[in-house]
Amino acid sequence: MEALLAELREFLTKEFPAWRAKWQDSDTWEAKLDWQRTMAGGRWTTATWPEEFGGRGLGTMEMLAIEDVVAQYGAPQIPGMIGVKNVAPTLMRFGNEEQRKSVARIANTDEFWCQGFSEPGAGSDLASLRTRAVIDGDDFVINGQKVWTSNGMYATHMQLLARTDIDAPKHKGISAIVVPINTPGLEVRPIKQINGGAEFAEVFFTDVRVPVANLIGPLNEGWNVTMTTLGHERAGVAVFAGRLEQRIRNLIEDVSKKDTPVSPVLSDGLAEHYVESRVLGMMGRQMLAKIADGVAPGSESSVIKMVWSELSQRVDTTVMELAGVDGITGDDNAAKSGYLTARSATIAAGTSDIVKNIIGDRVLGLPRD
Amino acid sequence: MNTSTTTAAERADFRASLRDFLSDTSPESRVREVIASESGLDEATWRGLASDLGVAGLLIPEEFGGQGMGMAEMAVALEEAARAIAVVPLLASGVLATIAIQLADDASANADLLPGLANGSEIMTVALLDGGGVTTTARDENGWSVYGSKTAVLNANIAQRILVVASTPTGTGLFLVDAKASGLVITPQNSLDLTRPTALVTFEGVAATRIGSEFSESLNALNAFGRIAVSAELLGMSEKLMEVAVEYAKTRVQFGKPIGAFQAIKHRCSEMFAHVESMRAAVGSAALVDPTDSVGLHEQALVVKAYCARFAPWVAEATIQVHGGIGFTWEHCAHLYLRRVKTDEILFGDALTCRYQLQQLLGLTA
Repeated sequence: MEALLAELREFLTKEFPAWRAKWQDSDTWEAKLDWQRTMAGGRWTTATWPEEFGGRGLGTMEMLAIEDVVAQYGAPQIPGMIGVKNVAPTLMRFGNEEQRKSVARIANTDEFWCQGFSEPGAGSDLASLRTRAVIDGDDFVINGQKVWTSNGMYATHMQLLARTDIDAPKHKGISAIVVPINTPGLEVRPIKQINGGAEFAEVFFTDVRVPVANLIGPLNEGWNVTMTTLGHERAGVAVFAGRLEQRIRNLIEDVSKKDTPVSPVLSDGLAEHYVESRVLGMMGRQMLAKIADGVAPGSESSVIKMVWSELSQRVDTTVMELAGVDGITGDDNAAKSGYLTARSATIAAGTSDIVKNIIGDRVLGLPRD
Repeated sequence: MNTSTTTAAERADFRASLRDFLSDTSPESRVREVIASESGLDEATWRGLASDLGVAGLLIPEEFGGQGMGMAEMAVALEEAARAIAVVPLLASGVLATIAIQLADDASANADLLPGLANGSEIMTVALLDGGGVTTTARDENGWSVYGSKTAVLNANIAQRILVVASTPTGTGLFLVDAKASGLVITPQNSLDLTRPTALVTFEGVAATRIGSEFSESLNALNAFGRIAVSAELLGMSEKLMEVAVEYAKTRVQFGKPIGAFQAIKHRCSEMFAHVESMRAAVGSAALVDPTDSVGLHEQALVVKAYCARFAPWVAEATIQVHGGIGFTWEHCAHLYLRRVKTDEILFGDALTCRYQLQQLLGLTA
């Protein structure tokens, strides 16, 4: 591990300032893509991929350590996270020979993938999705609509979940299909969010034709094909826990250095955040220790996700309180946009309400509604 | 006391044997019998815990007849004893008195007092909290004498000797008095917790033996260990309450289905689970802190107590809410736990008090 991280530090010490110099303060898409290409060149973004696919064959713990070091350097997150972490592992496992050619192109950003999952009528209840793919000769003909497609505006390809058997139980009639974004009949529109950003898109399908050969894995097995790789994300919440703990330490340090003390109520609120974030951090470290011992994490990831999302949301509310009037004038823009963005913490990747259902049903064994 | 050296697997085995033992000797029916008798001690359970399972002497070095363990092992014992709401003086005698004596660092006191505590033949308690706003003092009058009163003294009615923290002309000291000494009066209090009675103890010139020298630094450490210990109890009780609530939610049928199918109940249970898992992580982490690292010990103890003191009462209250009317009856176990949970919440500082100390530690307040 030490040799690995030393190699990474050497890489970053050389490459990160060079990238900074090239792009200055630019926060553009092109700059971020260039950073992803740089990182891919060192096989750092793809470190958990098997060596035959250009990875290093490393485990979760090594990847988390790599991400920590990258964060210490202040380097940005790569824009193609969904492709690298979710789509490529799915293609490696379930893709045919042609589809597997995409794996290397995902790493170096020649291809940029999104996942077409959520629909207007299928959010928390994803398996009730209704976008149809009907076989017509050698083609699928696709009609329907996707929403909340991350990075949809930049994507070259989509991993689509569509209904291919309307008579089967809802989880059993879904297939995963590769759809190039430039296919005729496909239209992408950005979704403007409450914080002004537009990281998501809605995607409309009108008689979109793609070859049946674009099917990933077996027909009607799209649910399992997709969920297998979603499991890879789980360890990530433990890292979120540690980062929130550090964020609150930093926030308290900033507040303690102010000339005018904050109100006793706000001060107690910060201490409350501190307590909860310390406990969350302890939970995260215990989960990572389990993974390091080769034990698969169980209910911890759901609990950490639930506690993390609610706490991080409250912290952004506190930051807004600390900003006072500057928060509403925009003089403290970080507080303002942080507060707005934090609404998504309890919605994205499973709303808190749904996570509580999952814990109740699967962990505590309570009867389903 | 030592740093814990057992593995997680060894502690799991220890937990399993404690749970077996306590489910045999201290079922709820037995707890209710002992409470009704007003003796304040389940002798058979205490004997078994102390001599057969070595729990009373867990924190005592082997040279004094103990097990030479640390807080991680004691946390397991406290969790399990509290889970069974056992009527035993484990916190008072096995933890607080045992740690206070060792913190005082007095070789002859260790040799004289620890062996009796280790085998459970002697029960001691520690009088910490001044009663009536008057500082308890000790004066050297050809031998030490203690004056004042202490409130909320745990298990005072069954202690043979009492350790008293008192002000001296030069600072703070730890003093040992006989529970039957002249000038010492024990008045049982109308305690919220029925499983661990408290008393008001008054001292009118009670002859005392001083243990060790200046005790103020040690008192900080004693309070920190106290916070970790009651947090372990709060974890054990919260876990049990969550199980009771979830079981009821699965079996109680209203409107044609088990009430646990309703999201209002299901989400309450899931939140209980999240709090119990958080408490488990916090207690597990705090109990493994290096006992000689006074800064780390102080911070971790405040964090774990601030968390458990806030959320264990929430779990206990939510358990009663999930049960509805039956949860409000004397015959249901929930109130026995609620009473002990609320007591542990207050002992060694409630959540607000711990957070206030954390604010000082973090530079948020002077």
